[in-house]
Parts: sequence; C-alpha cells; structure tokens
Amino acid sequence: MNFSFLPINFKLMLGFSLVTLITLIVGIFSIMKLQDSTTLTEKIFKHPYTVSNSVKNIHINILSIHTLAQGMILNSEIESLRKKVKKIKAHQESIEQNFKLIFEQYLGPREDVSKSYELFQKSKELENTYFNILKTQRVDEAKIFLLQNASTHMKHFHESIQALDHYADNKVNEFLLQIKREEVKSVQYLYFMIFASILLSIYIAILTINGIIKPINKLIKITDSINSGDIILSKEIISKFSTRKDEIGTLFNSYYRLMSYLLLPYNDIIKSDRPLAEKTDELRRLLNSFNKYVIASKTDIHGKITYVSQAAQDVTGYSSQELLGKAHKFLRHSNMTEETFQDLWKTIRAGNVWHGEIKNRKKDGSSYWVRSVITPDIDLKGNIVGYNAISENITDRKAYQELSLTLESRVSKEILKNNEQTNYLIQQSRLAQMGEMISMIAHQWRQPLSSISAISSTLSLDIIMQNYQEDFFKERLDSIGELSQHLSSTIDDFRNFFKEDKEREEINFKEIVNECLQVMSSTLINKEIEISISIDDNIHLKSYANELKQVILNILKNAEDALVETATINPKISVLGYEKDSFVYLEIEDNAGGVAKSIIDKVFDPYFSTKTKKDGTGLGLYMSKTIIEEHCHGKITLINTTKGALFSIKLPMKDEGSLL
Amino acid sequence: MSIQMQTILHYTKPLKLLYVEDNEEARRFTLELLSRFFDDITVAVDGKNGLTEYLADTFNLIITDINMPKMGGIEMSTKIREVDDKTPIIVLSAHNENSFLESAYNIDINEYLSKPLDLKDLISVLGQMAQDNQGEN
Repeated sequence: MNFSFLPINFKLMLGFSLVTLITLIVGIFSIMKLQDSTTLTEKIFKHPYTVSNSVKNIHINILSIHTLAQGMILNSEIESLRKKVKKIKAHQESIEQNFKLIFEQYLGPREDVSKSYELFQKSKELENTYFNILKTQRVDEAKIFLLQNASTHMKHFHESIQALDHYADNKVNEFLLQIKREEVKSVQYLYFMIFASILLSIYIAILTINGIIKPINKLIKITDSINSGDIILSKEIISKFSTRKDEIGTLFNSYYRLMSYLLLPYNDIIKSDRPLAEKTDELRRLLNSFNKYVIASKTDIHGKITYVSQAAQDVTGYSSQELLGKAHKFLRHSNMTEETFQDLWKTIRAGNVWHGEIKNRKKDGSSYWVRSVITPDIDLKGNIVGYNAISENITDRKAYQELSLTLESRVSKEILKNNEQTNYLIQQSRLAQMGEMISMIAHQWRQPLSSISAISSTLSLDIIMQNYQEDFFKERLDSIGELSQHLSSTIDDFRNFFKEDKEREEINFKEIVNECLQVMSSTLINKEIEISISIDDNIHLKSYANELKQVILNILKNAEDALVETATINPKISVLGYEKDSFVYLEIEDNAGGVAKSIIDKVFDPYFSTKTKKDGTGLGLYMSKTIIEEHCHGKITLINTTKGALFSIKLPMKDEGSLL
Repeated sequence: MSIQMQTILHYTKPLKLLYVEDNEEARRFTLELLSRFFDDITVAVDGKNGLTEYLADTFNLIITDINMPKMGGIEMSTKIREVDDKTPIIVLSAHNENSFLESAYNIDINEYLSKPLDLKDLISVLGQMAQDNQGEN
C-alpha cells in the first residue's frame, strides 16, 4: 500500500495512535478481566461460603440443642431446666440468624431454604412440647419423645441443611471452574491482543522506515553522489521525488531548487551531454581563456594587487611578480583626473559596482585605455574584503574616436574648402562663359564694324579726294547710325545673360530658346551650321530665365565645338521643345557622331574637358547640371543617338522645389 | 589731294581687281571704298565663287576675306598660287582669326590687312605696291 501522498507527521501520528489505542484496549480488557475474577472470588467467599458457614453454625447449634435436650433428661430440676432452655433459646436465636444469612446469600432455589426453615420451625414446636413434658417431670415420657420424634425430625432437618450445604459447595466449585475458564479465555485474548499489537507495531515501524528513513537515506545517497561529482540527477529520481506530496517531496523540491540555483552558472556545461571529466576540462580551458584573454585583477581592501590575469600582465607589460602587492594606482596614467578615482573609491567602498574608462600606463611608458568594471568582494558576513576588476582594452576604439574627431573636423574643413572651391568654380565658369560671350560678341560685331569702318574710310577718302557730296555723306552717316544701333542691341542681348536671377519668373520657353539661338546665330552661320528649330508655342514655366539661357547656350556651344572639331559635313543642330505631363522637355541634338563611350559618364564632372587644344574649362556642363538639377529641380542627360550627341533637359512646369 | 594719293590712284585705277567677301553688308560698304581706287572690280561671294571668277578672267590684284563658307580665303589663295605666283593677294583678317593665318604661312600672300579695314593701312599697302610697280618700270 502506498501512503506516500499522506504527510509523514500524519502517518506517524496515526501509527502511534493505533499502538496507544491497542495498548489501552489490552489494559482495559485486562483490568476488566481482573475485576471479573475478583467478583467471582468475592461471590465464592460471600455467597457459597457464607451459606456453608451458616449451615455449619446451624449444625453446631442443633448439636448443642440436642446435647442440651439430652442433658435435660439427666437433670430434670427446674432450675437446671430453665438454664438449659435459656441456652437452647440462644442457640435457636443463632440458628435464626444464620437462616437470615442463608436467605440473603443462598443462590439456589428459595424453596430449599424455606423447607429447611419450616423444618426448623417444627423442631422448635417439638422442643416446646419436649419442655412441657419435662416440666411435668415425666422423664420417661420425655425420653421416649426425644428418641421417637425428636431424633427423626433432627435427622430430617439435618439432611435438609446438609442439602443446602451441598448446594453451596457445588456452587463454589462451579464458580471456581468459571474463574478458571475465564482465566484461560482472558489469557488467550491477551495473547492474541499482544500478538496483534506487536504485528501492528512492526507494520507501522516498517511503514515508517519505508516512508521516511528510506527516502532520507536515498537523499543522503544523492547528496553523496553529488559531492563525488555526479551533479546530474536522473529524471527518474526527479520525477519520483518531486511528485511526492509529503515532507520528503517538499524537502527534495527545496533541495533541488537550491541545487539548480547553485548550478545555474554551470547550466551550459551540465546540459551538454558530456561526461563530467570533459566538462571539468572545458571549465579549465574556460578558466585558462579567462586568464589569457580577460584583463582581470583583484586587490585587497586597500587597493593592493593580489591577483592579475595573464591578459592583464600582457597589456601592462609588467609581470605578476612586479604587480603583486603594489597599489593599483601604480598603473595609473598621469593624464587621469583625480576626480575619476575619487568617484571610483567612493562607489566601491559603498559596496557598489563602478564602471568607467581609465587610462593606464604600461611598463614601457606608453598608455592604454580600458573600460573597467570594479566590484567589491564581499564575504559571507557582508564585509568588503577586496575588490575585483575586469577590464576591456579600448585603446584602439579610443584611438579611432580621436581619429574620427580629427577626421570630422577635417571633413568639415574640406567641405568648407570644397564650398569655396565650388564658389570659385562658379566664378571661373562664369568668367569662361564671359570669354565665350566676348568671342561671340566679336563675331556679331565683326561685320557691322567692318561696315562702319568701310563707310568711314570711304567718306575720309572722298574728302581727301575733294569729292564731298552732301547727300551721299548724309546717307552713309545714317547707315553708320543704324549699324551702331545694331551693335548696341547686340551688347544688350549679351548683357541679359549675365544678370543674376533673383527669383523664379514666368518664362515663355520659346522666347528663351530663341534668344539663345539669336546670340549664337552669327557664329553658327559663320560656321555653316544648319539649325532646325521646333518648339511648341505657349509653353510657360516658372524658373530662372538667365540660368536656363546659360545652360542652353552652353549646350549649343558644345554642339558647335563638336561639329567644328570633327569637321562634320553638313553640320546640323536640331532643337526640339515640347511639353508633356507637367514637364517641359528640350532636346538638343547634333550630328557630330556622339561622345566616346568611355567618357560619356564623365562629361558632367567638373574640370572634365575634351577640348584640350582650345580654352575649355571643363566647367560648362558641370555648371549646367548644377543649374538644372539643383536650382531648377530638373534633370539633364546626355545620350548618343545614331547621328550624334543628344542633350535632354527636363524641367518641372511649376517648380515647388521638391518635384525631383 | 596729296602727291602720294595721286600716285596710288594712277597706279590702281587701271588695275583689274577680284574682291571676295561673303557678308553682304560688309561687301557693299567695302566695295564702295574700293571703288574709289579701282574702276574694274569683280565681286565674288565666297572662295569657290572667287576661284571660278579668277579662272575665267585675268586679274591684277586679289583682295579676299578669310572666313567664308564653301571655301575660305586661304584655301582659295592656295589653289590660285598653284597656277599663279605673280598676281598679288591681299588677305583681310580679323584679330580672332589668327589660327587661320598660321596655316597660311607657307603660302605666298603679299599683304595681310586686319579687319575692320583701316584706311591708312589700305593706302599704305597700295602706296607700297605702286612704288614697287614704279621701281619695276
């Protein structure tokens, strides 16, 4: 039977209660039996013996009466008679008394006693008759009476009494037998009880041993096996004990929890299904690794070094012997502020963990940075007995941090420089464009100037040759005026290109493109470059007009240069402008054969120029890209077509500054 | 009128001139000036046209612009010099056309006059030519 679900204290209580109960029952039973025996003995003494005694007394009295009666015959003097009657009366009184006792105590049928008593009463009558005979001095008659009647009656009476006595004797024997029987029975019961009690006690003892001592022994064995290194409990044991509801189960669970807690740091090792030796080995390797790679040190309460790991020795350059016993600040670098260490000591002295970055000095005088965690070492009573430090070498990171700081400042300087450079570039490109403009102006002006010069020469010559004709002179001076006007308007055209665009303005796209072509026209005609223009009317957009013109002019100039350089036969520039999906597109295509594939990606880079022989700055297209993509938020691309290079400009019609 | 001027006119008036210029306006006013010196002027509108005119007739002097469509002044002069190394050629060049001139160094060009044409320069060149002519005679 398994009672393991019951608490042990309950089981013990139950067992001992049972034993106590049995003992109590046995005791009570014994006492009761003893009392029964006593009662029976008492009965023997009180009843049969009392009766027997009384009978004997009656006998004696009868015999005495009989003797007295016989004596009366012998001495029939009145005085003697009276004395003897008195004595007989006393005996009769005694018999009466004994009868009373017999009545009280006799256990047999009442009629027997009554019969004897009647016989006694009759004997009394007979005696009275006898007395009366004697009183009259009829001695012989008394003799006869005595012999005939009294003796017979005496005999009857005697027999009746004797029967009572027998009965009483029998009763005594009966009681004795009963006592003996009871005794035997009691002894049997007692034996049985004692036996049962012993059995029960043994059973309880076995239960106790099985339920308490054995599990405790098992636990002791487990503990011993743990002590000897076998720290893994089999699942069988765990399930056997942990499911117990009694104190053993509780004890085991609390014990198991304690063990799990203690073994927590070694869980990884325990859980791996490897023999303990291997685990121990692994632990040793771990410790070796710790020693080798972790910068660790221990100090006493005053900061005197008591342990340094190999890694710590490696990083400091000092050997263990050199460091042991030294104050930890021995390693401190002079750059470190006193505040850091004051904070450190304050923290760890208070029993708290300190962490921070420390610069230390190596044996060779160089420095290294560590990030340290310093914890107080506390004994069982809670007193600080020393301090443990574990550090991470962060020298490289520190160096990198410093480097990145330097880099940062350098980068910002470079950016500043770059900005200056960009500004310079813009300036330069503007200058370059101005140079180109001047060249264009020269082209534009050449013929009108030639004409003016020719006219003035003619007029001068006419004066020299005294051939002054007023009408002719007037006519020619008007021509000069007209030509001057033309020159002036040309200058105005160019000057517009150099106006700064302060704000976006509403632009008629066709006008802008035409202005550019107008400026370029004489150059293009001069170089026999055919221009084909197809621009949709009424395209309006909001943008920077002059910057846009600058870009268009730049592309046209590039096309012109390419056509001249490649000496293309029937040189031609096609300009196509249209509007689509809220964007304005301008495509300028030449037939100069296109840009070499190797450089097509670089044409928008600053300082990139193919015009080595000429005065190309390499900034034109870079500036164009900057203007289109950064200022106008559009897009400029270059691709090669079957004929030549094709520049495409895409501009948002309503530039809100965030469309691309 | 100065004696020099009279000498020049005396020299130039009978000469047959081929004048090559593409720009219409410039041609018109320059032709007017040249007509004060020359009575017989043949006008060509470009180098190709000029060469055709040259081959069709005989000229005493050629004045040509450099930068012209179809055929430039230098190319035309080179072709003329292939068959004729006597007829004087005066080239009118603008300042920004120096690169054209570089390519023409090995051709026997008699005079370069810069554009816009300066009267003094023209008189000076023509005077020199007249003087040379007198010396020869």
